This record gives sequence, structure tokens and C-alpha cells, in this order.
Amino acid sequence: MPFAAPWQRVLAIFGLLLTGTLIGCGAATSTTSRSTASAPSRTRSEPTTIRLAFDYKNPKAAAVEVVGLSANETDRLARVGWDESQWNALLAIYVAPDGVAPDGAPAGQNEKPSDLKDGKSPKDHLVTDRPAVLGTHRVAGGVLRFEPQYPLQPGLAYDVVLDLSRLPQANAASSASREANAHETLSPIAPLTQRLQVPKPPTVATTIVEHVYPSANELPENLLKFYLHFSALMSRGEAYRRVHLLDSAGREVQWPFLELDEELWDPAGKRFTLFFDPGRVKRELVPRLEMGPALVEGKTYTLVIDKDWLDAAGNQLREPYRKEFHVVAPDDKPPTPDTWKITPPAARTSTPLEVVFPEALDHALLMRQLWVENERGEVVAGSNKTVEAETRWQFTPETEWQAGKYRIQVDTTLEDLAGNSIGRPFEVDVFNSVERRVEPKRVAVPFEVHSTGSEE
Amino acid sequence: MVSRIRVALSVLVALALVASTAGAADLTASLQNGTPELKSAGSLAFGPDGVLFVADPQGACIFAIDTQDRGPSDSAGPLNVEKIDEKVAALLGTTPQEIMINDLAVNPASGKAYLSVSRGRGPTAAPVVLRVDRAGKLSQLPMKDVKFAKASLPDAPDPAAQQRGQSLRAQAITDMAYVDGRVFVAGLSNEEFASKLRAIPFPFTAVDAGTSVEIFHGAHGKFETRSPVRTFVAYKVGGEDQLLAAYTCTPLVKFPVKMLSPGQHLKGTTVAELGNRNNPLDMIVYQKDGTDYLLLANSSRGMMKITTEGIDKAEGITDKVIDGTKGQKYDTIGAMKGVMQLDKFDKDNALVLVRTDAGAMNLDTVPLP
Repeated sequence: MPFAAPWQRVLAIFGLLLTGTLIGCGAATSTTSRSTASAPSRTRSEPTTIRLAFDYKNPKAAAVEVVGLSANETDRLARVGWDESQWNALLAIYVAPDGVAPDGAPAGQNEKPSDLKDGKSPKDHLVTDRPAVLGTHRVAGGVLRFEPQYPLQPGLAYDVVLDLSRLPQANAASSASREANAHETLSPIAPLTQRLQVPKPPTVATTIVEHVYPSANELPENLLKFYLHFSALMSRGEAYRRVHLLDSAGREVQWPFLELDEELWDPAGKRFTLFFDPGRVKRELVPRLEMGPALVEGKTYTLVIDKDWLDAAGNQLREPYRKEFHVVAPDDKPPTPDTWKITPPAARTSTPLEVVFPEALDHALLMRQLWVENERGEVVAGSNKTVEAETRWQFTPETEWQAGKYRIQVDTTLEDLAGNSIGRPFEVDVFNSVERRVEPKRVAVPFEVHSTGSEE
Repeated sequence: MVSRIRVALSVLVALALVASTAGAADLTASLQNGTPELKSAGSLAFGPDGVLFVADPQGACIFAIDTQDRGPSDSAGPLNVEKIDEKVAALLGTTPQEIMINDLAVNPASGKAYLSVSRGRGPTAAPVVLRVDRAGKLSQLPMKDVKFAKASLPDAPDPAAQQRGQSLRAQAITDMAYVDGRVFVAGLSNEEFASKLRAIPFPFTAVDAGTSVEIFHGAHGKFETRSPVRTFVAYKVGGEDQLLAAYTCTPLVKFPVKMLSPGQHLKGTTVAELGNRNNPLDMIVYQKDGTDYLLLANSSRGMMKITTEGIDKAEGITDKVIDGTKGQKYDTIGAMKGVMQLDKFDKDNALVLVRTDAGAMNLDTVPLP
């Protein structure tokens, strides 16, 4: 049922999409009988109708419209200067209670029409003690329009209540008499109620777990975290219900992870950081003393990510994800850049610089806390990546290497898989003096690019 | 979360008694008119003069907003709202599954409750701050043309960030409190494992984004550990401002505020071990019959009423704790179950956000135990 509204290009009307029923007032189009003595100026060329203004090209701009008001009525409405509760008394939008019978008495919420109270069966009382949806009312082009502050949710039903007895009256010139009108029941008109629904696009499960770091299948007993990388934006609030750690018999390991209400997502919402409960990683803390470590050396485990984890669009993952790994001895040694092997590239090439570590390091920190500077201390532009299960780091410059001295700068907060950082193990033994460092420091690892290495 | 700052309260009470604020320094004086562009709404904390601090972890900043809610309360009595999640969702035009209530704070001046809410579950969820009056009526805190200020949290150094596009690093803000001219913010990186506590002077200045310290706590035996601070309160111990912090593996640790200075390695004193399989959620400090207590909500060990007796002299727990708990004595308050958020409502009552056994979420006023 296409319709051209005065100020919108393409509108599809879904006014009768769901129930198509008007509660308390016959059918949707039957409005002429509503003119009464108390509303003398109501002369309309068409019936008053509630409808959904919806454009497939911009579903988030869906709004609710009332058409069929007389020119006098819309003129007066355009001038009223009402507050939110006065507008809601005329036209309010409620989230439909999903077929659940409303639970009786209002609880002092936003003002709501009183006319629904009498003579209706419970199912007709669509308005509950829920507040009306936040939004803006305005009048333009002879149409009363409600624009919700937040987009109407596709697939969710809304009940629209229009109480024409709250229309400003012709003789209500002063604000005092308007006020009186707003609080008196001047006419026996029952409010129009219309159920509306924004169409829900078909759901397609396309999101997958792209990668889980660490990539290796042998991990230390005191592994500190996993990074879960998804292919699309993910929903929040259910992460810890959707990840499981199973032992080799398929039994779920209890309480292995640190559960934070805040959930540790990257700013884009595609990478989730899953920490093991540090209380079960660190020695001599109560959780570990009582329950043991979450991971035990020599055993095999599977990290499982449920398909039911919803992405930000509300769709399930395309498939569940499983990562099986074997647990090896705990790692208590901090990484030491002295032990890294550097393969310098040749000058006048763009061959990647490669650094080989004796152990796997934290993927995210490798991407952020290693960079290359030239002799003058300028950062060399380029891109980096990890290979061989985070035991190698490669840096490809944007422009060819020049012969000369360079250094790899390493932030000392760089961690290995067990949270040991450079110069500081995850657990600090207070009987062995360690540097009490707070401000991040850097370690420089020098290397030289020789022109002889290139045949050009 | 931790608006229950006694210093702030006493200032307010003093102002009310004087009956005139003429000449008194007003915290809103430094705020500018405009629209705070929140990317997310997380932890909340009230300062004096109706100033609400809102943590924006997504935007990595703290907003100070003039709520113009300076009290006094327009009505008395408790604040109880059943199915608050349904009502919040209805107001925002959606279902309870599509909203998250991130924090609760009570304005001590008016007794009105404030909720920080995400409308939507994805990273683009709309941030909303709602006000709940004693009649249970919900309204949105206006965010257009209001007086506000903003302080950005300093990020970890990343010299090559421009080359790599947007950093994946983010800072989860686990708690926040206003104490005597400073906003304390506890944060946890989603990459390196370190708890950061920042002290940001208020009024915010353009250049001073606050200082950052790293807090360790003495664990058992010979180890000391890094761990994220989950929730904390400010509390005067022997005339000295202390922060009492509950960590994720449930020790309760105290450290003096005056020690919080940049570049400091600070070792707190573990004053209690509160048991395993548990995450502390929220904490307040209150007085009953002349004695100070802490009330700590937990994920799986219920509500703990912890005595502060002897806390000033506590030497700290350094031995192994085999039987599960040690240090400051506490009672588990069986009547307060399912508490997810907690704040002080008035001198005799707490306001709690509770999930009932049936799954509903209620806002309840409950007597302080």
C-alpha cells in the first residue's frame, strides 16, 4: 500500500500489518462517528488513521503518523507548546506486552489514557504500566507525526494509542483552559489503539570466529588469556555463557575464566579478550589452593565457542568453534630480547624484517608494542604481522630499506602467553629484588641493514 | 557506582545547614554549556552540587555533567520499581534483552536514582542516562545544551598507531569515585594484564588528564601480584583518606590516597580474604549504631557486611589462607540476594538493583543491615 506523504519520498504503510484491529473503536477506517458535541470543529475529509511511516531504504527512520485530522485540528496542534506528558496523552506509543496480560494497576509511570480502564476485556488493555516510548511529536503537512528517539525495533510490536478527546479545542485560547481540557473527559470517545510492527529482515548467519590467539596447540599451564577474533561486530552481555573449557573427557571445567561484567572488547567490538581467572593461575591464592589450576600440565582441553553467541545484528554464528590444545609446563620466565634472533633485510629491498622468539608471545601486544626506528629515532612506516604461532614477528616497510643502523623498540609491558613481561615475571617473588617499575619503558634491539646483501 | 563518598555527603549537609551557598565554591562553575557526546555510559558517581560523573569506556573519557538535581527530595519514602529492566526497555522502545543496565548511582542530595544504560547490545549501542524518582517515574537525563566537562583518559603509548589504523586496545572502567576534588578511576586493559588507578583532579583542566599508578597487593606467602581492582570506596582510617579496593580474586586491600602519585609502585595492604569462586561487584561504606561498616555485593557469595574494626591497625595478610577467608570479620546478609548494583540511598537504607529468582530485575530500597 504505497503512499506519498507530504514530506517523505517513499513510504510503505504497515498500519494493518499485525492485528489490523482497533480496540475500543470498530475498524481502522471507521472514524466519522467520533464527532461529538464536545468536539465541534471536527470535520474531516478522510477517516483518522494511525499508520507506520516506513522506508526500506532507511528503516531506522520509521515513525508513527496520524492522518485524517482536520486542518483546524492540525493548525491548533502545531501551536500548542505541550510538554511530553501532554503529547503522550494524545498520542503515545508503547512496546506491546508480547501477548502477556498486563498486570493491573499503573505504577506512577508516564501519564496514560484513562479511557481504556472500563468495559474491556483484559486482552484489550494493551497499555500496561510501562512508560511510553521516548520520542518527539510534531505536526507537518496536515499529519501528526511521532518520531521515536531510538529506532523502532524490527519485529517488535508496538501499540499506538490515540486519544482524540485530548485534541486542543477551538475555544481553548488560554493555557489555563488548555490545561483544563487536558484533564477533563469532554467526550465519550474511546481512544484508538493500533498495533504496528516494523518488518524484520530475514536473518542470515554469516558471522564466524576468524581466529583464536594463541594459535599454538601446545600452551603453558599458566596461560593467561585467549583473544577471540570474530568476522563481524558482536553483541555484549552474554560472552561468559558462550565460552566453555572442556577437559579430554568432554566435561566442562568449572570457573576457569575471569568474568567481568564490562566484558573486554576492542573498540570495534570484534575481538574479545578472555582472561583465565588469575586466582587459579597464581600460586598460593585461595582459588587455586582449593580448586587447583584451571589447566593441568600433560592434559588436553578444548575451548568451545557456542553457535548461540549472537552478533550485533542479533544473528547466531554460522558455526560453533572448537580449539583443542595440549597443556605443557608453566612458564615463569620473562621474555628477554637478548635471546631474539633478528634476520636483517638487505638494503634497497622491501623484504620483511624478521624477529624469531624462543617462545610464543602475546599476539595483541606484539602488534602494538614492537616497532622499528631508524638511527635518528624516527618511526619507520610499514606493517607488521605474526607468523609461526606468534613465535615470529615480521615487519614490512612501506618504502625500501636504506643501508644503515636501525633498532626495534620494544615496550617492556610486552607479555608472553603466561603474562610475564620483559624484566618482570607475572608473579613477583618479593625475596628476589625486582625493579619497581611503573612507567612503561622501552628496550632497543639494534640491527643493521647492509647494502651488500642486495644484488641490485 | 561509588557515589557514596562521605566527604561529599558532609559537604552537602553542611551546605544545607548554612542554607545559603552564596560564596561557596560551586562544582558546576567550571562546566561549559554544550552536548556531551557519550559513546558509552558505564560507571556513575555523584559529586556535590548535582554533578554526575559518567565513565565512557568506549570513548576512553570521563564526563562531568550538571544534572541540576540539587535536591532536596520532593518526596519521602522508599524508591521501589518492579521490573525496572522492562520499564527501561519500554521507555527506550525495545525489549529487556536489548538493554544493559551498567551502573546505578543515587544523588545523595535528592534521593533520585540514576542508571547508565546501553540501548542495544552491539558496540554501537546508544548510551543513555536515566533518572528514577521516588514515585518510580523514569525520565531521560537531558544531554543537549547542558553544562558539562570532559577528561580523556591517557592511553598507552603506541608510536606506530597511525600506521596500523585503529588500535584494538581498550580500557574497561571497573569503578569510579569522586573524593574531595579528585575523580578516581579503576581500569583494566583488554591486552596487558595490569590494574590501573587514575586520579583526575576536578575541575578538569585541559592538559591534566590525571596521574596513573599501578597497585599491587601483598598476596600469600612470598608473592605479590597484579590484579584488576573491581570496586572500591573511599574511607577515612585514622583521619587519613584511604581507598579500600576489592580485587577480582577477592582480597580486600587498603592503601592511602596520599600515596597515589605518578609513577608510584604502590603496595596495598590485604585486610581481608573473602573467598573463592567469587567476584566482588559493588561496595558502599555506611555507619550503623556508631560503627562503620562496608557492604560488599558479590557474584556468588552474597552480600557481605564487613566490620571496619581494627582496619587501621591491620598489618595485612601474608600467610596462606587455607580455610577460604581471613582478616576483617564479616556477616553474609542472607536477605539481600541477587544484588547486581548497590548504592547508599540515605543514612538508613541502600538502593539495590536485584535480579530475582524469576529473572526479573527490580530496584529496591532495603534497610542497611
